[in-house]
Amino acid sequence: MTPDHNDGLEIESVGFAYPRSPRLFTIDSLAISSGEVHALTGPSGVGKSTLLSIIAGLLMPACGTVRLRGQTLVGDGSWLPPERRRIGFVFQDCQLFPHLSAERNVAFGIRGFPKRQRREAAVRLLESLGVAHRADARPHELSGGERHRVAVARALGIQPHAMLLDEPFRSLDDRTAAATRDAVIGVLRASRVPTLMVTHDCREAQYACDSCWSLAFPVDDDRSRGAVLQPRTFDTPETALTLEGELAK
Amino acid sequence: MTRHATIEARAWGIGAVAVSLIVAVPVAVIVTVSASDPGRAWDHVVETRLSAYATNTALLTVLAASLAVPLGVLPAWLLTAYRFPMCKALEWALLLPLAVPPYISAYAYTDVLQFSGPLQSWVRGVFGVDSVPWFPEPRSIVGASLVLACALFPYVFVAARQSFAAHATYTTRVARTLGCGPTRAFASVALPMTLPAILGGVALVVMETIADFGVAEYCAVDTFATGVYRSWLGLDAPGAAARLSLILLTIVTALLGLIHLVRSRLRSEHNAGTPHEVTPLRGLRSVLAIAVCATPITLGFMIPVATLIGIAWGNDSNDPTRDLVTHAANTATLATIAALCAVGLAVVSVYGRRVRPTRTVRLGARVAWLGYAIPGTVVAVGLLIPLTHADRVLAQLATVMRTDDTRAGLLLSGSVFAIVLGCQTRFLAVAISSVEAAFGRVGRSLDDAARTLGRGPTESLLRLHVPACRAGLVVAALLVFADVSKELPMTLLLRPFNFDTLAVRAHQFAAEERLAEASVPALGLVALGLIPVGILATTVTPRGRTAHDA
Repeated sequence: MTPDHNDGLEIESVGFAYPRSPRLFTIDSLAISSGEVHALTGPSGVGKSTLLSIIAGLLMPACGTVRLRGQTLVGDGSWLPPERRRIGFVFQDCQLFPHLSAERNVAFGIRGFPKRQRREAAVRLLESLGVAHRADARPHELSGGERHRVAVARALGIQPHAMLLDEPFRSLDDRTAAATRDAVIGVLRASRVPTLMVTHDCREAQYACDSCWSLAFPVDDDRSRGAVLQPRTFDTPETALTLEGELAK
Repeated sequence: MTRHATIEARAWGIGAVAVSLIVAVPVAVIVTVSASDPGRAWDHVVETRLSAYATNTALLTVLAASLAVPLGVLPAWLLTAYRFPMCKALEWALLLPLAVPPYISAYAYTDVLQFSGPLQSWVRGVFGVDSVPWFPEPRSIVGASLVLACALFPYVFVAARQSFAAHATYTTRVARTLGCGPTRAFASVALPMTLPAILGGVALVVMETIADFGVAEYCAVDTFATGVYRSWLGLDAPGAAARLSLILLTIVTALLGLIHLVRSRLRSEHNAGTPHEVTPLRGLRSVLAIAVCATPITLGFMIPVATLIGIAWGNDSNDPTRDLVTHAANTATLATIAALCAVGLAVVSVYGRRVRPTRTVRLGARVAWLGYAIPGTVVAVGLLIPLTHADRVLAQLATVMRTDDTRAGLLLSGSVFAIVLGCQTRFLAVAISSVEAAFGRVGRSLDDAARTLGRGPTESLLRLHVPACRAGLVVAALLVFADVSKELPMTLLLRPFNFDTLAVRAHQFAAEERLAEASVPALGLVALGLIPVGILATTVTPRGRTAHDA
């Protein structure tokens, strides 16, 4: 089936530079269709998290266009504020609201319903990620894996049209990361939300994602455009891990 | 420009700038009046008083700040790093001097130390002499500095205590593992790390001292603050008062700029340590630690309050409690209204700068900070001129709109509105400081998280920042409440007719040397000040309890 990009997230010619700094990166084209999960890798400081912030509306690009479901989020003279984009964002270190319970964190983004229904919806989301039993716990009372699941549930609470994950399982041990990742990716695929996930873990990218992209400086050392986005394949010996091998681990 | 602002965010920025106008307008009035011809009174002030104002203000500030630092820092370190008997009670009690306005302490110390006072009489009796020339003179610069330091050191104590608890003890333990003894670890690690916080506390002491009117007036020390008051009321020379105010503002701005520069140079990235273990002290060391902590409490609270109670107890003249309830109710009403307004405005200022941190908005926040350094008399002068003008306009409008002979009266300058507005000008910085600290604990990433969850700036404020910062907002309100309760010169000038507060009554009696009558409203003022101090003590030192219980 050919992916219909109008249902998904499209990025064209997006460039970014911090004030009084050279161009950080240029993204010529990136398209993520409904139900797809794409991985974004690259060295530290190259701008992966910055790209996610641009897509979410937290930063302004120097140029380019970002579209979601055919609607222009930024570009062509228009800009939609982050609170109106319906893009779920799972931050590094989760950024759960420390004064709210897990359930109330998730309910924070659910709108347009009476309070009781919001809470019921929040509990359902927590159930789908296997942490409903921790609904009343505050963030500091949750384990690392539980915090990440609650963060994903909270992002899903807005019924997002796209999802951004910024190194969501970085701080977890291998076993917890695998379990959390399986739960999260399963829920995202079921909800058919186009997802872009920043990760440093090539195995994770290969195992969990449909495509993998690398944001890195070009090999010809032409840095005028900053880092550029290139498709990444897993045919090199150091990154080639089979699905069976991953499962066997 | 990496962030894009919505209309809502721009509105918050405009709100923050508008809030700063509360301080900017009186300052602008002062500058404008200063530029006009001040008349011959100014020449008289320059020839006879200006050098005394400058010298006395400088000496008073340096002495008060120098004395306040050891009084605040040493107990803060001892209570953070060590455990000894009564340490929890002492930690709470070290905030008590905040409840005693400096001018109330001045009344008490003058009574204790003067020639006919109990202490000097006792010394003369013991030594069998007619006079004791070496006895400290309360009505002098040194006496005034001591009174101010004893009343204001809690600002340094609170800043140092929180900073020690947050950063220094953990790293001091690291220094101890690297071969430093306790003293060297304190001097080479803890103190330098806490210096920016201590300087923040010192800045508050400096601003309070420069703006002080009550102590300087009662101790007969001519400073810029008393000079402004006398020029305005005694010489009837608004031009001279405005020029003195302008000089004072320039000095304060330069001092604050210098302190800010030093703090920013000293500031470094700290990692908050894990809850630390405290070292138990026993024997002579614990007695010394108790003595170090108890001395500022004795000087700043016990002696003044005990003296006032003694005076009130021995008073057999008129009923001193007459009108006390009315004056206390006036004080509480005024302080409550002012505190609620100040917190609301501080939230607008701090949050506006957070969501719209443009150069103009940041500049506006700095202007709002300056208000705390403007003496009450200067604020009053800066507000009375435009408010009186506005009242005239309102009266003309009322005349045009009404057919009967009813007069509009002084709606703004003659009502509680003027004094509430003055309190905002003067104490907005106090509220901003607390609100800023509270909002600072909510990371910017949480703002971003709220926005990606569909909440705009206003909704984020109401649903995220305000609930998360409730304690900080309460602290801000309590601090403003305490400051407004104690405020004297501005209240004297701006209060409506027949609206006396406890501070005003205490001052009026003390100025007439009727300390017996002054003692009761003064004690009422202390009692009122104890309420926010009590709540503040449980709010600002939770880490201490955790540490001690560990």
